[in-house]
Amino acid sequence: MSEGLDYRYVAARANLSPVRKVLLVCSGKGGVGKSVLAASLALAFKEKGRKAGLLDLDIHGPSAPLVLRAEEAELVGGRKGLHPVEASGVKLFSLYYYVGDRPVPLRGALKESLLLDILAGVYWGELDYLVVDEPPGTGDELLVTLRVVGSKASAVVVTTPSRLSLSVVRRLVDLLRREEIKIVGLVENMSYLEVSDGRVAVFGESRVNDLGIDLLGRIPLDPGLEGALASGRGVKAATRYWEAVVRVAERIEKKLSR
Amino acid sequence: MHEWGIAESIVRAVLEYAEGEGIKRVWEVVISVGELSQLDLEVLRYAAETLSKGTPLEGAVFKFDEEEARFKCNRCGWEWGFEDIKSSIEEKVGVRVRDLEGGNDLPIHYMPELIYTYASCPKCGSSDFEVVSGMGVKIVRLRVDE
Repeated sequence: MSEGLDYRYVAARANLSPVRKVLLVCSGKGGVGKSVLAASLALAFKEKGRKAGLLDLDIHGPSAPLVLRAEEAELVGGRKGLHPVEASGVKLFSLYYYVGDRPVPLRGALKESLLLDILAGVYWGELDYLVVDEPPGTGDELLVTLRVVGSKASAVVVTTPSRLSLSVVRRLVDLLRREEIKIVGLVENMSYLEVSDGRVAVFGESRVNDLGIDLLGRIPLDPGLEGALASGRGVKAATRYWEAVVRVAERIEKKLSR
Repeated sequence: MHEWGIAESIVRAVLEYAEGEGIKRVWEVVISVGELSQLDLEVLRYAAETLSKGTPLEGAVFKFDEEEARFKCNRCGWEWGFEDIKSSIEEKVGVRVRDLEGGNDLPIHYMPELIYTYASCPKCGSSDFEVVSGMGVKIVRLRVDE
């Protein structure tokens, strides 16, 4: 043990042992709506009667409490570590509660260490699904989670139909395959806009079939989403978006139960 | 009392290591503890000793190498310690974690890296500083019977 023993790997595995399935929601690049989708999926699982948790690992832009309408919360710790916050029936951990709007200026190794503190220090208890909102890309955050969660993890890949987003997603898919992480499927977000006489493909026609991954669903651009979140009515008030998310959650459950 | 959770994981990590290396008995566990983790070492020791009972760790001595937190600014070169900024951090953070067993903790008790959010160089105000020492908790040495 020349470099010492890091007890946090053991702690993280113990904390995750009562969790049945860990679902990593990943994207190749930012701005594809991954965080809102991750929080919405956790909520959709909860609405279907599952015990659901959401781990917001987006260190530089934690946003899950806004989506789950739980911006204020009391922070509690006990013998087993930090307790997640109860947010619309979903167990939630987000750095948002600890840093608010302040920056978290961490370099690579420190970022990895903070993530290990979170994975080791948050006690989830029994869950059917722990949805993890991964930061975009193939950096430290994703690698640390894969190292800790390993075989328990399945990935949902989020993209928009834009050519740029899809080309970056390829790298993410390569990495997940190399690390032998099961890819449940792909969600094409901001896929189209519904107008009175049909659908408009704002980011161009879909090319997701090129990736060789099952499509879990196409989620429309819902002009009501921003207003629903900003007004505090929550994601369910954006009905087109929410209905599409529920269908995606159902497909994920079906695929994972096989 | 986060210390109980840490103690449980330390004991488990040492037992896993001992099993993997074919070690029959562990006599001493040396743990480096950074000042920023704000751990109560007496509670940590008591918890580790209690949780070791009935294992090859029973009776082992838990020693702590306490590491003072030191900081250095990358912009102006100023160096300082945690004591120099502790009261201003307590004022500035504004968030506490309620301990179910009593009291309130600063978030750095659970996530010492958040010091980079809460602190800045006391001389020039920059956020570009290094924690030179005193950050985390690690098992650094074991005394064992093979």
